[in-house]
Amino acid sequence: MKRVSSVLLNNMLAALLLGGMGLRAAQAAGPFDADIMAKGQAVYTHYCAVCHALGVENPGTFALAKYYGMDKAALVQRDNLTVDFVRYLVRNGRGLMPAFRPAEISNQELDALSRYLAAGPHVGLPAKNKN
Amino acid sequence: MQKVLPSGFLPEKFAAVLADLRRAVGKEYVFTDPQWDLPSYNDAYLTTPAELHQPSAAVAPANIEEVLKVLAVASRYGVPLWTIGTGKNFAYGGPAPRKAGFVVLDMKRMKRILEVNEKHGYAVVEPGVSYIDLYRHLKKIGSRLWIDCAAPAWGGVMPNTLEHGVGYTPYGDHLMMQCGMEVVLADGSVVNTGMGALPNSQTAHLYKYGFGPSMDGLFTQSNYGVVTKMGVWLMREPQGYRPYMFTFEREEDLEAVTEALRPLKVNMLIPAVAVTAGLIWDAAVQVRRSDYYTGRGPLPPSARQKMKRDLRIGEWNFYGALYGPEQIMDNTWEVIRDIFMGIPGAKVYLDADRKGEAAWEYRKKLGMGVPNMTEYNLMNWIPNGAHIDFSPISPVTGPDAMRQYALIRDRCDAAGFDYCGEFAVGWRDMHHIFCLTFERDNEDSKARANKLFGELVRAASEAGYGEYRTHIDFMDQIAATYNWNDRSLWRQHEKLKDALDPQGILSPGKMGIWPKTMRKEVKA
Repeated sequence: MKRVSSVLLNNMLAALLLGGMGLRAAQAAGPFDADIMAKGQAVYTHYCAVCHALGVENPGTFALAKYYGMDKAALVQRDNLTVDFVRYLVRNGRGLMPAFRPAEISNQELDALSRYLAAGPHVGLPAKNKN
Repeated sequence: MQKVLPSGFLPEKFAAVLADLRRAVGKEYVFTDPQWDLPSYNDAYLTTPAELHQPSAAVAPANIEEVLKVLAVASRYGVPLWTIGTGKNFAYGGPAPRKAGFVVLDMKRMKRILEVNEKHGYAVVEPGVSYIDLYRHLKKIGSRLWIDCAAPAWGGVMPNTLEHGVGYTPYGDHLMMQCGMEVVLADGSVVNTGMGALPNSQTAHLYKYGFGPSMDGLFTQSNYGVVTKMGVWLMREPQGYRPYMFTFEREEDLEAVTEALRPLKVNMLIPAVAVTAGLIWDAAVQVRRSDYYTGRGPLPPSARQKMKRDLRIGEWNFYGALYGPEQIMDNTWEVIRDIFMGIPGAKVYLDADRKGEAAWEYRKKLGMGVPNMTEYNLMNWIPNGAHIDFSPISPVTGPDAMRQYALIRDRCDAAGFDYCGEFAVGWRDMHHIFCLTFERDNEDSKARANKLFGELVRAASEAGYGEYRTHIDFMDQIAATYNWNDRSLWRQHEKLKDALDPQGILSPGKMGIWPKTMRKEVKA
């Protein structure tokens, strides 16, 4: 484990990771831990991206575009996800999304996923928001 | 959600069951929390109350040794297990058990890809392997083999085959491409089917039928055993792949399209499962209903026309593909193009014409076995959309297609739902898939969908059309339609069930096959 205890370093690393964006969300995700972020990203890539990656061809993204617009419809674009919200959604589902079972995504994997997504956005926001 | 128990179990006895299951698989793989764990074992797309399908627990073994231990526990106490693989059989019940109180036997943790045989073109997989898993694995090892996937990428290679699912490449008839199984029976015996019964067999996944009765089919859409391993044939990447699409202007063109298609399928000029998708199906994977109409009832003709223009689609949209060397594709294309373009108003599109369009891209991917989830956009057609699929089989004829279409469309219109359907043609059959999309959080919508579905089952069976697969809520009703000669087929199913699983511990009620221990209770 590469746990980083310094709050300052925490924020610096998070700023690097997030391209300077989303510190508030990163702090909501808890102490920064590179291993957990990598694990969370792997879970996201394996299970979530097929519905939630960028583009209307992905049904989760198309569904969420209704609420957040296409600029923030993909999960990696979101800056308002929290750990508890992600955990709840994964185990309970919502709208067209069915729940994911603990035999698919373990509680440990879910913890990493939640923290990864809560640390978003993981892709740059559109230019108008960066100014 | 409150805790529930298997029927006839007191809390003390069920606590003993759980203790033994924890010893069998480890305590972290027995799930019992009705608030945290078990909602994910219910069906997201129910038209009936969730309480009817609430499991008492779920148990997830990691290997066949643990499966045997779980079955031994179930047998000791007589506790009913409901087996799932990847648990993604949505529209047909998902991971939910047939009845409340069953323990779900979740095979997802068994997700090894045991073999990929490049030379002979097959793989051997465990129940938890999804299409995405196998696809990514083949890419990772540099394989030139294709998979054939169902439209939702998260589906299971084995589970979909066991449910008689179909895909969209020339290997689209999944059960036909299955070869060799390992099955655990209720009494703890382990059986290798087909050539796998020969010790050190060289052909366990090369020849389907073995010696003596071919038993593989008995373990599909059934509750006679737990399949723990399966061979699946994989297609070698062809020299060329050219998907195509024809659009047709009028509702009644379905008849001519289907008549044109039959000889092309019978003669194998169209080798893959071919699809004729209705207007709303093709629209719903890329736009919302509210983009075109916000009123209730069927879409008015003006909205349909605008949708056709905007999206360059027809009342019917035919998808197929050419496979093989360029010269063969060129020759075959001339025949196919001329036949379909002979239908007045037909338009033809190739990849260059539609690149980047969601409806086209996902069909193109399916035709070459690239898993994706775009078809789930069908549920974005309406707010909080969910769906159950009504899927009768018919002959591949124009009159049958029109008859089935009218049968569903008219009842659908009357019940206040949009007809969203497609016809998928296999070797000699046509699967008519009607995606009944309802509002998941609207009790009235759910009740109307449930009622409509029951009416469709009755109307289709009266017209001589039976379903190939169904939601857990309708298994008994549909099983009862297969009642020729005083239910002779289902009486045989029951005899087999009683012989192989006399206690009735495996998936009671699957496809309307109840063990004798529950038959009286169910009839009552």
